[in-house]
Amino acid sequence: MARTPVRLLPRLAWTALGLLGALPASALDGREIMQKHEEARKIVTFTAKALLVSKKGDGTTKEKTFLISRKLKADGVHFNLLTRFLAPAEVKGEAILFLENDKGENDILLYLPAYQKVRRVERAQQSSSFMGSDFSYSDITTPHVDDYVHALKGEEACPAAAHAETSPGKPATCYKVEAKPATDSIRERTGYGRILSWVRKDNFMLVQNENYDAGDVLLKTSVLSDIEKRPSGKWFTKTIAVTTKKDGASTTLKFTDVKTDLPLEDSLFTQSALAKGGK
Amino acid sequence: MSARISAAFGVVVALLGFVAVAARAEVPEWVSGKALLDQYEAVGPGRDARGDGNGTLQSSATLYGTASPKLSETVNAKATLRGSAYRRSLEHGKDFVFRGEVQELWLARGAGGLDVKLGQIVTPWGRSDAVNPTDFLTAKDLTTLSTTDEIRRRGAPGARLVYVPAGGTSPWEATVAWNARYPQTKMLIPTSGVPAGVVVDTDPGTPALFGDRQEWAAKLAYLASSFDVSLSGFSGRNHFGQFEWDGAKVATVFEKELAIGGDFSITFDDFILRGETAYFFYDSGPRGGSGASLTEPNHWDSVLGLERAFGPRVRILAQALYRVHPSRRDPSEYVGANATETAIGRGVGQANALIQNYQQKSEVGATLLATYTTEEEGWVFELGALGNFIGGDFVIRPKIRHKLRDSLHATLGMDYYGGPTDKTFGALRDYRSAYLEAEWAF
Repeated sequence: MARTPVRLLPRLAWTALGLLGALPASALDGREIMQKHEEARKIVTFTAKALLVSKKGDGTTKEKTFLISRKLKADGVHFNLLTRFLAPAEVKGEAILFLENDKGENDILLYLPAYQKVRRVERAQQSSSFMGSDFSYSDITTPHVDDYVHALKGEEACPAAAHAETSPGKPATCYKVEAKPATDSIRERTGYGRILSWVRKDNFMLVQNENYDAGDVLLKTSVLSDIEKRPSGKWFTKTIAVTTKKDGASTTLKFTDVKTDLPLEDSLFTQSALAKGGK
Repeated sequence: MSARISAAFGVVVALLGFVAVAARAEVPEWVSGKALLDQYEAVGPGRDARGDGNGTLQSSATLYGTASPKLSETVNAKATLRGSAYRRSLEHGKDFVFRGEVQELWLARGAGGLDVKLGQIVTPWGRSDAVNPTDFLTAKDLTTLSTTDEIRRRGAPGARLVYVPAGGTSPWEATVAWNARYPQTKMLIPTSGVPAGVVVDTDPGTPALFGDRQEWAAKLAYLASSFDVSLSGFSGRNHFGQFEWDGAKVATVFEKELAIGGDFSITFDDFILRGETAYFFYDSGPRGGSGASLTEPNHWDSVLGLERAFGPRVRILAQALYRVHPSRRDPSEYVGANATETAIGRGVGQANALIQNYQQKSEVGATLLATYTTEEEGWVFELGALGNFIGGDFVIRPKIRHKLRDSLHATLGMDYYGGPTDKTFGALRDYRSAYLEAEWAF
């Protein structure tokens, strides 16, 4: 009967410890990686002008522009976000207020200038299209670590679209993390059964997502680029391109005139302010 | 009259200015508006009754523009003007007329949770769809046929004060509203509902400012992120005119009223639940005009609605309506000083009951709005309906809206009034129409 010589045990132990030491990244599990990602992009306030360009399978394109303001709530985790549309004319003046809550149960309020009234968007509709684009309402809000159960699926070269973000021609390494909704409510609100994310090892910023439905069918792929470090040391993603698998339609959301960490009143993110049309 | 025409011309010129601005490569963020072309053709028995060449209810072009500049960090302004040219209209028949109206023209200052607004203002209250018992402060021009409800609104000169504690961040919101004079709704009056020999002026003029023409309202709202609820009170006038016999002639009066009300909305699962209610107390007492409900008696109006989407394309909103006039008497019980006065009084009371929808002590009704939207909102199919269960009268409004290109839409639809001709909507069957409307937004 073969036995492990007792004298070999210390060597094995050292080898194991050495392996652990040689894999500092692997010391992070999926949740920790996404916590670092959430910290890396946690900009307290920002305002920007956004251009939403949707391209359909037949090649036709539609553009919408809006102003966006976002502020971190007092809990240090969730955000309030306001979008106010500038063009095209048929949606001019419309505004949408996203109020993130804990447990992933966000509230969305829509201001319709034609009626001078605020309407609620029911939770089941939050997985529907945001202003006719390939983004859903829930895509516009920020995913939070506690809303998902994460699992590290390995490390690999970042997807090609992210190469230019690091060193051109020299693929960066990404963590590949799978996220599953922590509750049925979040699954229903987002419409996603799981999300596969590629997170850059160097700055913990997201460069690609694959979103799958409850039946594990790929719904859409998002590529995030123009990732820029702000004076606060946090990172800001200026371009997000989403492609819907089913019909090949795509939407690009591009932020310009970005201002971060500027003073924004909490009163801007209230139903009362929304009903005043932002005036 | 000439002053009114000049004012209308001025509004049209101002709107042309809007269009000139809009025609530039980039419309300023603070300018928006619409240009509308429409044609409403009478259908059914109403067309036959109108005789040869008079089947067009409305043929018009409208410019509607809003400028809302931000003058400083705390001060902003808004001007909303409407100008219409009518080749045919309900009010003026075949006469070619211009009509201009300043819907809103105000200056506002807001800081630290306190907002003050002064000028001509539209303040639509209420969370329900189409039927809003707590919409105490506004009026509408129902003689203008349009799919765009916003162009039918009528503002009033006055002031609004809105206070949100904690520098504007509290969920509590208190509003005080003052109208220097009451706005008047221009009514769509069924010809069969008007007593014989009475000529109805649907545009009875502009009352003087101040005095007993003033209105006051207050609202306290709690606006949480997942629900909201409000209580409101009002002292002013009924903005729907009613007929009143003054002993010599039948005049349109806007009766003094007090009202209390409230509304709420909440989201749960796939649904949005909305409710709205108000109780109205009239100067004429609980039984209405002459103690025999010759004008509308005190009453309670309530709406409870449920809305949900079925997938990304279909949305359905159903509302139950309930209105009760607890002390209503039938106008036929009225007895005047002599036979003539009795006959006129009863005729006037019955006309009011028909037009104001108080022919029964209790009325139960419902509304339905179902929409189907194709991708990119290229086509929108909509079916709207409103009916009274007790009277059996109703209006059905199917319409198809097509996006010809960005900001350019065409709408084809119908307003179908049905039910017994002696009931509120059935009596409006002369206004059954099919229409085509083109809309360009800028």
